[in-house]
Amino acid sequence: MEKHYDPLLKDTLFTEKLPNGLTVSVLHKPGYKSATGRAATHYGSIDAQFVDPNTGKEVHVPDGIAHFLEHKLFEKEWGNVSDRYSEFGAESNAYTTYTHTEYHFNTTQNFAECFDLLLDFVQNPWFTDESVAKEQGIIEQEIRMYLDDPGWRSNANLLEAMYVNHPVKIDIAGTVESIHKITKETLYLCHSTFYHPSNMVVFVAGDVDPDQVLSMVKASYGKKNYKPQAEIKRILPEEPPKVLEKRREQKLVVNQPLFRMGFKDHPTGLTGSDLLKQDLTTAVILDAICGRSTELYTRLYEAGLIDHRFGFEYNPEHTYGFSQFAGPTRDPDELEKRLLEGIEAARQKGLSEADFERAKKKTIGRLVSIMNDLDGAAYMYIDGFFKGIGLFDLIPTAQGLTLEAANQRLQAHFDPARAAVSVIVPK
Amino acid sequence: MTESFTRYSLAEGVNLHIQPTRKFKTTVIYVYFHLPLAPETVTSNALLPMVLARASADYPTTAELSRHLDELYGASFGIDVSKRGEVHSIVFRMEVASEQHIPGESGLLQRALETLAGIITRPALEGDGFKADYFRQEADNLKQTIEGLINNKTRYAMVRCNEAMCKGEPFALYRLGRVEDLPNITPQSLRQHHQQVLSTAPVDIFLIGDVECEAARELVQRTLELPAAGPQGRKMPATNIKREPGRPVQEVEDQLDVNQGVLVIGMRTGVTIKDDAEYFPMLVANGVLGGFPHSKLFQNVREKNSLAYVAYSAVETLKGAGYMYAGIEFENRTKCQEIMLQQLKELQEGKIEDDEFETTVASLVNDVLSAADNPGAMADLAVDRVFSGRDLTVEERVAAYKAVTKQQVAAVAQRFSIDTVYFLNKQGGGE
Repeated sequence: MEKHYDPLLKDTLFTEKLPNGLTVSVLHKPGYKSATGRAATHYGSIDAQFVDPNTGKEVHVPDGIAHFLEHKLFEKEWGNVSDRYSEFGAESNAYTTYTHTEYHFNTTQNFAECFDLLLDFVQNPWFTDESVAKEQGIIEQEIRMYLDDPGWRSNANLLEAMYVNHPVKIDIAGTVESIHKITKETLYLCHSTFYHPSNMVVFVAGDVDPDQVLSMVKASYGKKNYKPQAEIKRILPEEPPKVLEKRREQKLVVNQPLFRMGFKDHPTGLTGSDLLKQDLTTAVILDAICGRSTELYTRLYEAGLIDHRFGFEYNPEHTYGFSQFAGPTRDPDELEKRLLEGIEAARQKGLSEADFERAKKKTIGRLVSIMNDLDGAAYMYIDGFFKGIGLFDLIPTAQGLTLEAANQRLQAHFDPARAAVSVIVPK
Repeated sequence: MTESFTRYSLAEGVNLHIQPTRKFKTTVIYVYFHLPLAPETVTSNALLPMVLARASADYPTTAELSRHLDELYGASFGIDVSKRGEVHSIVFRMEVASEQHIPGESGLLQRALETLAGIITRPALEGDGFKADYFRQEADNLKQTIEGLINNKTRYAMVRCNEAMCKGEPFALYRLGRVEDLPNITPQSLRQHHQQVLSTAPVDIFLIGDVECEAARELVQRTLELPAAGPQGRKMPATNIKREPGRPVQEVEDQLDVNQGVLVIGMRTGVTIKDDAEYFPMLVANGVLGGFPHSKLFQNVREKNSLAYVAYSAVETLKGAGYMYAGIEFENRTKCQEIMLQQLKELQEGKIEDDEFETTVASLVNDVLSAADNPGAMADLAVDRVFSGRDLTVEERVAAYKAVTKQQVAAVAQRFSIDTVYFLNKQGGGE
């Protein structure tokens, strides 16, 4: 395997790409008692429309199917995968995002058995009409749980307001109606298309032997005779630069309004180091204009418009991207007005060297601390992998950010014409 | 390197626990002040760290303090109030990058500790009270946060169930306090409470990171100056344990305009962290009942009957309380309750499959072992040690789990008695 040592993090990463297209990476962590194994596919909730590589035909599957598939891969003819992990004394779980699906275990014992099981259960689906029907009941409760979650709803409403056509505006889990349209046949089709090794990555972190990991992967994937598969053609509708609506409101049982404002990226399409630079630059800008150390934050806080729960982040993806600011507030209209004014003032003046450097330092420190635990490192690796970003690129890229580029980005991204607001108001 | 804390007594009732390790890229410090959970002080305890976190005499505005932390490579500072049994602890946490990962920096830990000590012991004052603006803003924030409990229906249902179950006991108090107390707290009274806390509360300090024990002890002792304890000394508060409900099962219902019902069944387990013989069997009993995805509740409520996405059980190990939880369709309330009670009954009758049992023990062992890879989990285990008064190593904890028998689990589960059945229903919802 190719070995890459990072002198700053003092971590070593081993990587190899197999002939079937699968990338295997091992982050070697001497002294760690636990290890994690992860398999992920570049397949998320936004990939509901694609060209079937076998027939060349365009298909449109029900919303929420990637997440449904994630649930269903845990069920096998012989029983339940997470029960088997428990028997090994391991924990297992999975998650689906807009862009990828990830399966993992964490264990301090029986690593080899756990890892073999991971490679096997993710690649070998078993669906029946009965098991699909049963899962519809469970996922319906999952969807209903989120219907009562103000943070989740406020986020969903912002995406619905910001995007005209892009499927990021649709909930990852789909809707109660859409999941009832899912059948075992469509599940098999999605699995065979998106769980091809060329669309996947396997990642391990812990005090394990990288060569042993690699040979286990080769043995497991060798059992299945994968034919080469061309890159999957994903169909996304054209997304105009403008937002669909400036504002969306929903009433829920909450004690005070929950405010969220987003700025939509246009154009999109970046990958690799360009996307990473944009990601970190935007993160630094956000902190430099309304982080805790700033005048804007102080003014909003002292006016009682925000409290310690106020936060912000940038969500960078290849096909979409947006910044958001969110928190409970006594007066969403006033908060919106003053936030927009503060951001506009920063655009007029540009960031100061001091604020920029301070925010950059903080970003570097935070990147170091994310690498503290195996879960954090694994998340960063997998999220970055499908964007063409390496784990060890993060800190050097952050160190290389410039004030000039930040001020350009500040101008381009925070255009009030591409802002939308979502408010949850008390019922 | 040994994976265990070295304990130093800095003063009567002030203990420092150090775990030197190079595994992590940061050094983390937790400072706990343990106070009695009581109606008179619960709200002040919650408000105090919020006000202290705003500024210190060294950094007298929030922006200055915050900028200083940014300069320490984004040192992350946080506060919390935790409730274990009837002990209410104010917690301060500071995490700073290890210098080995930040080229050209030195003294980061020392500066972080000095900052932390300043926040805890040298507040920004106006006369004999806290800064009035900061006080007022945080009192308002606390009010909103307490009232905001309703935003999270899961947490809301748990808190409401516990409140009903322990009515009249200090344990019924919400850890963030009561809105009605706020008008009676002033910047001056809170400052007096602060001084009281500093001189009467037992203190536990946990330090995990790339340090050498003796040097770290010296650094903490020199940096964090606490006043001498009063004549009463620093005494760990006691928790009153109620073994039985002492009344028939009570049913409590709230109605809100929600999409999903929440069922919480509150129990008295009668067993605590201090019961040497029964503590580990009790944790295994909870594990078999609902601690994991292989457990009885998840299997029967979710997997076999498709009633819920979330179904689990949890135990509180200082008070001796337990909870069974599920988020369900409103009309499935009775069915779900019957299934949950049936699972508890089977556990009590010793109807435990071999694989259910072995899987639970293996999962609990995994939890103990993996705690060594996470600073927060390490500190939690160390806090457990303080509360149990039992100084078990990781190996001893593993051995204790492995020694548990099915008979012990059934016997301890027989002590679990249902106290309160709580249901969060829809508006106007009947059965």
